[in-house]
Amino acid sequence: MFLNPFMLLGIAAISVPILIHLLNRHKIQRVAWAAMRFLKVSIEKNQKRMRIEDLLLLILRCVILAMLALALARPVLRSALGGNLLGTGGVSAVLVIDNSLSMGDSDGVSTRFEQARQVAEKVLDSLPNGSSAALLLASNVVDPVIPEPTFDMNLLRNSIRQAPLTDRSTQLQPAFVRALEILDRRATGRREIYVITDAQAGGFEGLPDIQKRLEAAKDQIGTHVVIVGQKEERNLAVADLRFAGGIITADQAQRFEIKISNTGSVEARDVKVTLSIDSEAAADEATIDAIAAGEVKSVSLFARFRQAGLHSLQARLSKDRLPADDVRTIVVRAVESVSVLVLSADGRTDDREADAFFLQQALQPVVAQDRSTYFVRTTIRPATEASSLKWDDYDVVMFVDVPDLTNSAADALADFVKRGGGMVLFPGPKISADFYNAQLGTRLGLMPGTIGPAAGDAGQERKFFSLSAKDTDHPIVSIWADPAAGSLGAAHFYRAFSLSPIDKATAVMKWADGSPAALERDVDRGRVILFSSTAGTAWNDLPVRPGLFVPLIHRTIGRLIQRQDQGLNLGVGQRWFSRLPIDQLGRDVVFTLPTPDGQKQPPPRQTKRVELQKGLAVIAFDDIPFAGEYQAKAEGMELMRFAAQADSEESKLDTISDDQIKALSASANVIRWSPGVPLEQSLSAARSGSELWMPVIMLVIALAATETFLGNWFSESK
Amino acid sequence: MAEPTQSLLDPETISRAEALGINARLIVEGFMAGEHKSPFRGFAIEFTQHREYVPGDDTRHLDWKVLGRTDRYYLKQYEQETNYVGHILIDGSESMKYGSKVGARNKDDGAGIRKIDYAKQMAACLAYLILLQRDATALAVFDSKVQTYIPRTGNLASIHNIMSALAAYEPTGKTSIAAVLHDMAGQIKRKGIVILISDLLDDESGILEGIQHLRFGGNEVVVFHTMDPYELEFPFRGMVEFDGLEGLERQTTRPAEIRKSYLRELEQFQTRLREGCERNQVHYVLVNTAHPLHEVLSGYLAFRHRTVR
Repeated sequence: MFLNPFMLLGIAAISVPILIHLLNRHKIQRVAWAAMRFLKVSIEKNQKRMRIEDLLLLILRCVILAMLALALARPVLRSALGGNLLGTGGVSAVLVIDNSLSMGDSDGVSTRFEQARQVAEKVLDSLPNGSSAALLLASNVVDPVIPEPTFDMNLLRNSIRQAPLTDRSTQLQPAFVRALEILDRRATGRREIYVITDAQAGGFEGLPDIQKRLEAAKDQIGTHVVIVGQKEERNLAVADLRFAGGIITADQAQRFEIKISNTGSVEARDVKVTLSIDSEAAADEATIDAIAAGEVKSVSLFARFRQAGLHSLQARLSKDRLPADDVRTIVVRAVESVSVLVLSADGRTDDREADAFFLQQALQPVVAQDRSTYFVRTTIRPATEASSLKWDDYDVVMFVDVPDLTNSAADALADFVKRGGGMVLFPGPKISADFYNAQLGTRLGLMPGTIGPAAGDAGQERKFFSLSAKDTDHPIVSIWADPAAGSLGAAHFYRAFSLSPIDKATAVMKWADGSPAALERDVDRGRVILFSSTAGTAWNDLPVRPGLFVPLIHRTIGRLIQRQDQGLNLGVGQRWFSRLPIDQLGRDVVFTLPTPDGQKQPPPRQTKRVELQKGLAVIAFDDIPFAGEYQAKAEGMELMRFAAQADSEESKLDTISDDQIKALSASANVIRWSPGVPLEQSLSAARSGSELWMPVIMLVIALAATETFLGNWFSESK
Repeated sequence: MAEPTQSLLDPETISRAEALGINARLIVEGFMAGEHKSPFRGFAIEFTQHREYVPGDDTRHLDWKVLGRTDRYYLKQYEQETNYVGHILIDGSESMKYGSKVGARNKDDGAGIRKIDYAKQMAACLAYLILLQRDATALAVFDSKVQTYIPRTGNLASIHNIMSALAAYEPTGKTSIAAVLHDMAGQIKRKGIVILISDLLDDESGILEGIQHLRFGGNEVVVFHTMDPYELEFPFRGMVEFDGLEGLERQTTRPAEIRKSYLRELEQFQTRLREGCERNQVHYVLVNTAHPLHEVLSGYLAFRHRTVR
């Protein structure tokens, strides 16, 4: 195949030496000569040799010219894909640019993403005339910027230049699939896929599948994987930022746990971590002496929120080459107070025998005169009044040995929970297990587990069973992971119901034998926690162990409150939504996006409309692109805030191994690119095969040298 | 070609003849200056008297009989015979028309004048030289037969006739040297010296036989093998079509590529001729027409001085 086929017409130039040869016959010097006899003999002796030499030189000259024409026609060793004899023809290409967080890694001059854009433009440059291309941006989602190949190269260039870097994690397999699908629909012509990525190991989890698909399409579709970016030795990331206490209240110092991971290959020293509230100056800071390569270290910092409400909280490291993971933002709700309704069989708390006595002590562990100002406000009511209660006045409802409820009260309760209320169930000797299992469980779907028969004898103190001290994975009991905080196993239980979990219920605590001692279940936006024994001392001695009982109750309350705030913090790429009163339907909400790192201007605000979903007014923000704080504002509505966090796995910048690259090379052309390296040529060569003009020119030179030598030798007198 | 008699009347021929004569005189007088003895002396001579030997005399001329009888050193002295004949034979065949200077772009690159012109000058010089010594000379210009003949004459004044005849001659025919030599050998009545000026482009064995014939008649023979420098060196380049003189067929070739072969053939030819001449005690002189005639002649005459008697 030839890149410059018209040059083949130059082969006609072989007529030139023939013409010269013929013309030379007419350009003869004529001499009248006397000494013919010597001449004649010499001619007779040499004529045959001279004719052969002439012919040889003529052939040689013709071959040289033909080869020269061949070289100018730029012959190529044809590759397997497409093309035709008269050139390469147009290409249908799909450009896939990795725009995940790790592409923001900079070599000090340009980021990997900027390099990827350059590569993409070079790819466009290398496409022959008449080519079309689609553009996909790939992270853990595929963003089809130009979903079908277009011939509009200006549009492609503009789209490439304006392509945004996101804070999403990487998963390239769907992008490969999508690109193959796009080209599958184009049955004719040359088809090519260009994937431009930093080849982060995490992004190639589906490599065997990618290979399989590329291998299957190999004969029809050529795939190029262009790897940008150098190996990054140093990278620190804020891997996690979370509240470490029970309930976030206003005007009290709250402890937050920050995890710093060193994903580089060298130790990091003197790592300064700061924590700031609502983008203000740092509220607290700490310095970690050293973090070894691959290690994660935690640090606790404190923040005090001046007022109740939503606040953004930012943990920050000094910037490194990948700045996007040097900051992590969460939105938390600080509460002025938490209203807890305690519903007990007797509705009393006045003596130690009352069902809710210890619970109230635990909820408000302060002297009586301070109870009215304590942030946990409790209301004690007997179960018989349940029907007349307004559940929505409370944040959390606690059932202490409540026998049953009326159906209407149960319905109202279920509605309360589903709209975000918290419910804690302490069963006891007075309960009707049937009511709980059938009404609250089967009918209303509130129960985390089925209450089975009670075991043990509460009338004695010798035989008891204990909680497992090891199972401290659940956030409520996680503080007892540290033995210094005491042990869950210390409490004695004489009697308890057996619980069997339903659906997605998780165990909060376990008995020493591994069976669940408390279960938790999310019900819509609310949450229900079911214990298996009493809240008083009737069946156990847990309430008289304040070191265990008070934190357990507070953390349980906190856990239920956080459930309401769970939608405040999301992973990048996820969907944020909030239910609004139905009268807000159709209203426009303006979203303010965080300013991605490295950019001066925040992204343009986005306006979204409150829509009706399943009978509810919902405002949503799909596919959150960047990490950071988002604010949603609408006229006459309270400011809504939420935050997105990048996947901490994305901070691991290891690339796929050489073996994996080798495996990928079997079905794709893998090119490592760094700025300044010419790319168009190798892409063109891959497209049309390797060019042969150089060896042909070498051959021409060799032939010309031979011709000169032979010419001289032949013309030597013999 | 005009008849010699007619050519004599031609003013151009006359002027050419005069030029030839003047040239010949200049050349001969040039190399005769300072010479006391005739280079051709001693071919046919008669004894006149003795004289006493003085140191420096050639001992070859000592009269050994007188020395034996009287113990005195006397030299024999001779007198030249006035009717000694120098026959000059000029090859006037068409091949002698070749001269590389004719049509040559650069006249000074060693090209030679036409061989026939060189031969004419040489003949004129020799004739003048012989007549100057009061000997007789006869001249014949031949191709396949004698075309112009100047009978024997001893009169220096007749040099003009010789010049005119030479000037008027223009070669046309094919050569047949052997036949002419045999013919001449039969015709020459008185022994003399036969001087052959030719390019000898003919059958060399025939030529040698003719020479042998002349020698057999008691003649001394000198062969001036007259060749153009281009014939001797064959310096042509490029594609050349050689148009054979004397009716030989044309040959087209790249002469540079066969030069060595040509020179080899030429050398073998010359060797055969030289060796044949040496066998017959004939002086063979290769003359390159690029060389000045006086140098060639003086060189040969000096050689004769050294070698003849």
